[in-house]
Amino acid sequence: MFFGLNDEEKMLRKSVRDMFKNKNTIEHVRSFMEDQTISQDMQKLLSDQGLLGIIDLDGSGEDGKGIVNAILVAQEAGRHLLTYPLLETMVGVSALKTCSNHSSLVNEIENGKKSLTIAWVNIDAKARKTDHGYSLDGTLREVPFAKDADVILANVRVLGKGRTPDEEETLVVINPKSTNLVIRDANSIDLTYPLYDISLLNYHLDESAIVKGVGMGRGKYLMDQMRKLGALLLSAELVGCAERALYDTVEYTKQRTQFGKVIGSFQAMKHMAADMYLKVESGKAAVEYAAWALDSDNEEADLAISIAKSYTSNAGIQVCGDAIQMHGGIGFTWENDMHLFFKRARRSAAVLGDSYFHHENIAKVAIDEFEDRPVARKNAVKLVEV
Amino acid sequence: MDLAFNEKQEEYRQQAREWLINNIPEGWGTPVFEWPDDEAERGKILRNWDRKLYEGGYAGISWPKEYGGQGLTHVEEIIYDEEAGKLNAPGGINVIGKLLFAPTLLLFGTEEQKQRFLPPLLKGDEVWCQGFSEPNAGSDLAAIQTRAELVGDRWVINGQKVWTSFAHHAEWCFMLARTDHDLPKHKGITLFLVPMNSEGITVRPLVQINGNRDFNEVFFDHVSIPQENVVGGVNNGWNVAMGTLGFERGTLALGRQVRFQNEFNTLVQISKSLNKNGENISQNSYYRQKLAELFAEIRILRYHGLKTISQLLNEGKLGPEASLQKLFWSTMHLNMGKLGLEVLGEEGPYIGKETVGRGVLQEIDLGSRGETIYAGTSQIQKNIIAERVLGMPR
Repeated sequence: MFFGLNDEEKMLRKSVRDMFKNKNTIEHVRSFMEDQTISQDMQKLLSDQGLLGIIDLDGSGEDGKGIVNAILVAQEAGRHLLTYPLLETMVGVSALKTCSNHSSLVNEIENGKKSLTIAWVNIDAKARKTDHGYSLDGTLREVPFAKDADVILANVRVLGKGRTPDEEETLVVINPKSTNLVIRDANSIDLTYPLYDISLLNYHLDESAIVKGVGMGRGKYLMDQMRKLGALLLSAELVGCAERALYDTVEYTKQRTQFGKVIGSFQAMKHMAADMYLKVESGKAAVEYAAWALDSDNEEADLAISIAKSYTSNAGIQVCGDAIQMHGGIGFTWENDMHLFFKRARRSAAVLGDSYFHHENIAKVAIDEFEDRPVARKNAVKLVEV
Repeated sequence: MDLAFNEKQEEYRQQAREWLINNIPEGWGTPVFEWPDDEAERGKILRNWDRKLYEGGYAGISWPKEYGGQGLTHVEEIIYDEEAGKLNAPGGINVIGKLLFAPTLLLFGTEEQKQRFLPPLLKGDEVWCQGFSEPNAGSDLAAIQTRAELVGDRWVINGQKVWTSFAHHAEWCFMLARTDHDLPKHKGITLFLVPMNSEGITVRPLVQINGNRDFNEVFFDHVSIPQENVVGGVNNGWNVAMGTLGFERGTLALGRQVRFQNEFNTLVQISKSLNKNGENISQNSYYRQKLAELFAEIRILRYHGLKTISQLLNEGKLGPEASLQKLFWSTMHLNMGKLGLEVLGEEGPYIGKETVGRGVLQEIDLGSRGETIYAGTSQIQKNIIAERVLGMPR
């Protein structure tokens, strides 16, 4: 029984932290906000560090599935407001790896030759069979960095290939450079991680672009796995993001003087900071536990992920919002960095299942599946707990 | 990261569980169990449980064998604690002795003191209470005014303690008294061991807001004790007390978590039995959200517990993280009480045996009001976190 990080995991965290600290500074982030293109330098760096294909869902990797490593990387991505679709790459590559037809694409992505993103939501994209494959029409949503990505993983419905619309879902690889699709900036509030909508117009899909076969629940299953993994990694990002906002704020309270004292010496500030710390550490524990559960095929893995995502979604917003408050007036300005963390938390909390969605998942287990047992008693002895 | 218990540990869990099922008093924890009105009789029942635990080999699980313990690790300790929680087993009457005094003595006591005090404590022959807080020294514990003076070869103690749990059942009290007024306030304090049958001790029971009578005021009027009853050296009491408070804030995590989970299940059950506006509460999305949020926090308490135990196993001690845990569970339990009363709605005021929840949720609502106060208020825990973990200036 050991709940904590081993030496290799701590080393990985440190090396990724140091890398982002130097290569994804606030200056980098702010210049990305002006011109939202994927940095080739960052892509090469991530590839050189071997971080892009860090997850092996079949447990065949050096560290099994590698989920614990992945949450540590994601935490650092959140901490440094990483302006690269690393989460989508880690998750997408793990899904592509399950299909041998796509091993050369996996190689290209892992080697930093191509960037990958995921269309997390399929509004109404459908595939019609044609003589040479399929023709796609409809809309995809929530596609980070789509404008600049080389490859997009998306679920589309192949009509007639399943008993329900869900079952018809099929995971496919889409080329965003095609002229038969339109990419629109969806105007996400979080400029560090742009989201796009995609309209497919008679887009030709080759048979070879299909991942793991057509319909029959396969695409649905893969996307469910990807969304769960994504929700967990996003929870980790939220923890990193909130932790950075907290520690930067604490530093500020040690510098800023009012009433002749540093404001960090006031209990009103200390108590806010302590509450923030409690939320950060609790979220961290939830993420680490869920990572372990997923890594070890624990039967409660799905529940643990919903606990992590619901908790960190609310905690992230609370902590980053309080960070603005503790900065006072300067915290409300564009030039101060706190709004970047707050907005990143807002987006992260909203996507891949908001806290309402994940609470409902939890409620199914905690309420609906809970077996009745005799009601507890009033007259049980009440000892003062210590 | 490996959160599974090994085969041997799982075997121990099975053993403990079987022992508990066979030994928990008939009807315990159900309305069938009849408690005597007499406080002394109630004490006897609890003390018998402590004796049973000792005979069964479940007292002092992680303590050294030479002092009557089982010589196992903290892991077995928490496994027993978890199983006891699942079955809502009694905690016994020597909670203070086992969880606070004994670890303190193991850390700071002399060999003679350990030999003398630990075995009878484990056997249930000597019950302990803790004399720390005073009317004018609550959060500011170092402001204690109870004083001890060396008269001849004996210490003579005068003053008053308050919130002294189990003092009315206890044979011994470990208490703080000021031994040097000229030193700074943290430096002139000493920890003493005082027999509760000493001449000059008066115990006056206090009634808590939930009607329980667990704690007391204790008055010391020229109470005389021998010099060997000092623990950790004269004027070193503050260091010793800080060790004790660390135990108070950090231990028991998993057993408590399981008990909270049981309470949550009761809350779910009550939700399923109540309708509002023609809709079952357990199907109403407002309550489902709130219940799910609470459930998540109860699980996270378990994760914190596992982390704390890992730290205890690896580093042998707990740091200021213990404050985080105390703050987390006491706040969470307070919220459970609030939600419980929200679920009860108009049933809220009624606590009789015939009511829907038999007063269980009201007990949580009231009892948890004490939990955010004792063992260091939430505000003190936040100060500790801010200053010692985050390094904010004093």
